[in-house]
Amino acid sequence: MSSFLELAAAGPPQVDQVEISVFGPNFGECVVVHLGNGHWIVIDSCIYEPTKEPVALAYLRALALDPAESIKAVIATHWHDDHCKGLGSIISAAPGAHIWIASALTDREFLRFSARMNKNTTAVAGTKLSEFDQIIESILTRRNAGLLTYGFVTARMSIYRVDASVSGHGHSCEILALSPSHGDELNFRERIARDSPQRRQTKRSVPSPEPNDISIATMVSIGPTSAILGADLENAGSTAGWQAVISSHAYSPLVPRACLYKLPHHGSENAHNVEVWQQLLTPEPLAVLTPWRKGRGRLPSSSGIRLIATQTPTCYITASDARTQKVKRRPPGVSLSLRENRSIRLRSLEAPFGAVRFRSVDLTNGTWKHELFGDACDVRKLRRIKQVR
Amino acid sequence: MELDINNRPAVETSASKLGSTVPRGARTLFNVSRVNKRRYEGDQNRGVSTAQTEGNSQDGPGQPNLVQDFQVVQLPRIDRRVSREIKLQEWEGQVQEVGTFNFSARLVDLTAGETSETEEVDLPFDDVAESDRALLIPGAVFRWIVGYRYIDGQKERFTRIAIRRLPMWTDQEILSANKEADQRYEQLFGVSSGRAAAG
Amino acid sequence: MRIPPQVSGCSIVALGHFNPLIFRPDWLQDKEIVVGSDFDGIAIDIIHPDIVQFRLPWGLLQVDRDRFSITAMQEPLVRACDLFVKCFQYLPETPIMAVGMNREVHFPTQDEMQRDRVGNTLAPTQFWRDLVESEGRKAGGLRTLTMEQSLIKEGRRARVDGAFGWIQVKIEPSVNSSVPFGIYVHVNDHFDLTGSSKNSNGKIVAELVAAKWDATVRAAEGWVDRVMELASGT
Repeated sequence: MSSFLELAAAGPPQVDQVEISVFGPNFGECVVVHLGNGHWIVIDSCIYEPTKEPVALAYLRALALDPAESIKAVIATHWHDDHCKGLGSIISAAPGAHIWIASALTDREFLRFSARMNKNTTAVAGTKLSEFDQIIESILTRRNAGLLTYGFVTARMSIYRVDASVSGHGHSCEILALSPSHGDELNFRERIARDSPQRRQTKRSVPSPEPNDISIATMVSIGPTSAILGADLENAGSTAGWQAVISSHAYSPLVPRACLYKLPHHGSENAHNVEVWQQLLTPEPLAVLTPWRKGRGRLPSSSGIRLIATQTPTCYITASDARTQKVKRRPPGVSLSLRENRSIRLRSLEAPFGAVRFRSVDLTNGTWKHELFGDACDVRKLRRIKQVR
Repeated sequence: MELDINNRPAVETSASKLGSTVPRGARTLFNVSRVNKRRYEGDQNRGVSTAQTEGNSQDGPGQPNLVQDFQVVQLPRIDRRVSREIKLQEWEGQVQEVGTFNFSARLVDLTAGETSETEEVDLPFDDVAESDRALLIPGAVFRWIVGYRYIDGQKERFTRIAIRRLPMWTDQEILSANKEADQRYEQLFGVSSGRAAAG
Repeated sequence: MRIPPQVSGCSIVALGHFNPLIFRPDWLQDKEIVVGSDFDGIAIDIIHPDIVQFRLPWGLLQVDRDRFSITAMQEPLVRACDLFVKCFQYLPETPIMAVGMNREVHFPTQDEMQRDRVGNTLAPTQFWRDLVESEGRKAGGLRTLTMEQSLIKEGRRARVDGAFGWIQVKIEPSVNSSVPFGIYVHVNDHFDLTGSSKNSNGKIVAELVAAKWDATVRAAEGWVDRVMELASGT
């Protein structure tokens, strides 16, 4: 995707049109939702490498929209820099937007974990928690100014609402958090307690956040239709993960069924839950996901793709699993050394970038128009790959 | 001789390790007071240098010879001249996964002046000294160097993986972090002046 | 640095009161400061109550009663910082009155003209003509030049960043025969910790070095690069 001009060519959505756009990958993913009548919601963030700006801001500006006026809420479903680069900048660009983070991230223990990790300034390598820090600072600034434009999310909390009279299309809208459940939070607290730096321990960088116990999966309801944005939620036993969502649904049904599904955790098998497909989604919904890479591992795996195919014939991915060919220019001695040792494989972390955009055609019938940009494609066109986890 | 701002002689304690030779016979082992007086006087009004150079700063690529000033039994010297090297590229890496024959890591290109990870690599265990392999665990930080070196006059390419021994989290840092975090927590959830007291 | 140095090293020197016998290889191994192949490659020169000196595969450790010095002569040079910081994290009560971080390089130039360009720019020969020229021919030149950053604060030398101490940059023609038309640059980044209200000790110095190392090396290499720019003319 050479620029956002392609995406912007069709102009912004109509006032009565709902849009869900998924961008990625590049150290994270980003979902931008238009609920109607200029109500934009941003979920997570990643960077558009050519301009080094957060994708959500680049997209809105390409549509000639002012992020400060358009973005009504920012939802951070991750705390690890690897997965939400640019989130701090989005919040700064939209000071009026409501900030939502998982409640467990405001626990004293996690705040201590974060502060201790920040004391490791010796090593350059390793992930930091700079985005999380920025988010907390923004929240504190607002609190100190008496602006309660932030919230701490747990399962079944209503994050954002638009009344039918101002939605542009005559339907009321709601974004409802499906997670994290109480079980998710317990798992998270346990892991943080275990990973928290202690006195006299050798410094290390922030451990991998996977699984992302406090991922915020959401249901976006627009009148008679809805979409489920799965974030990174996985299966995690009977009282956490997707099973907790299903259990909660049994007591208090999540309606209407979703006709659009942003697959959780890059379509991994660990995040595949048949009951979610059967109880929360319409038959053969539209599906979309972003790929993930770590070392030689890739998601979705070939078995993950097969599982998806059993549930829906229509699934798009924001980028193929083609590795970027971009190689840094280095002195000949370096290139020669690297080439001579065939066991050494050096790769750029920059990944091909793409976007999948859905715009509503008929909300009553739940019909959507989809568009693919950049490296986005049908998931069935991916090469078969091995699963890492 | 250098004078400090009070026109008193400043004590220099510098010696270059890239070839300096401390003058022979400058001190003897048992002339401790003379050693202390020359090396460092601890007087805040004197300029005290921690430069590694005393007198002529560089006398070729040899090793410093401080030991000879101390007339004690010397162990046989092993010639441990470090080979002359030209560094072309340096990365700092963090180990992500450890496999059977190789390990993967994310890299920060230090030579390019970068501060975040932009590349990843699979490196073979064979490139790591056997006694260092136990240090290769997920999260371990290392430096990876590529360059040229001269051995016996011959120029050859080399790569080196050196695992860093990072400092510890100190009591002070833990306490300071806890304090910062607790302050944040109090700010987030402290009693609001606008709220009515219970009861 | 635009010209890869052919000889390069760094060192950290602390002045204070030390017990050299603490810094034995087995103590360093026990504290996991020197492990693995670094430990295997140690060559001891002397272990004595008044002085300990041994070589690591990448450098040299020297400790006597009032001076601690760790030198890295092989990349990555950050190992000197890691060793220093970790040693004094384990010895937080050690009285230390000053610490300096040194960066030294010898880099080559293409020919005598390039090398002389550095000397002539830093110390214009026009001013010294009657000393360094004879009968129209060169008869000498810059032998050594030291530039220092220091202000006077409370009667002591202080740096621009407010800490007591100084920063010195020394430039000389290289006497290392393996570096053709070489230039030697030595940067000494010195912190004077005497006279502070709190007694300076290993803990403070470890934190100082850990915090300042990257910036010090970066700044030092910046000055080296500036000299290289003079030489190369680019």
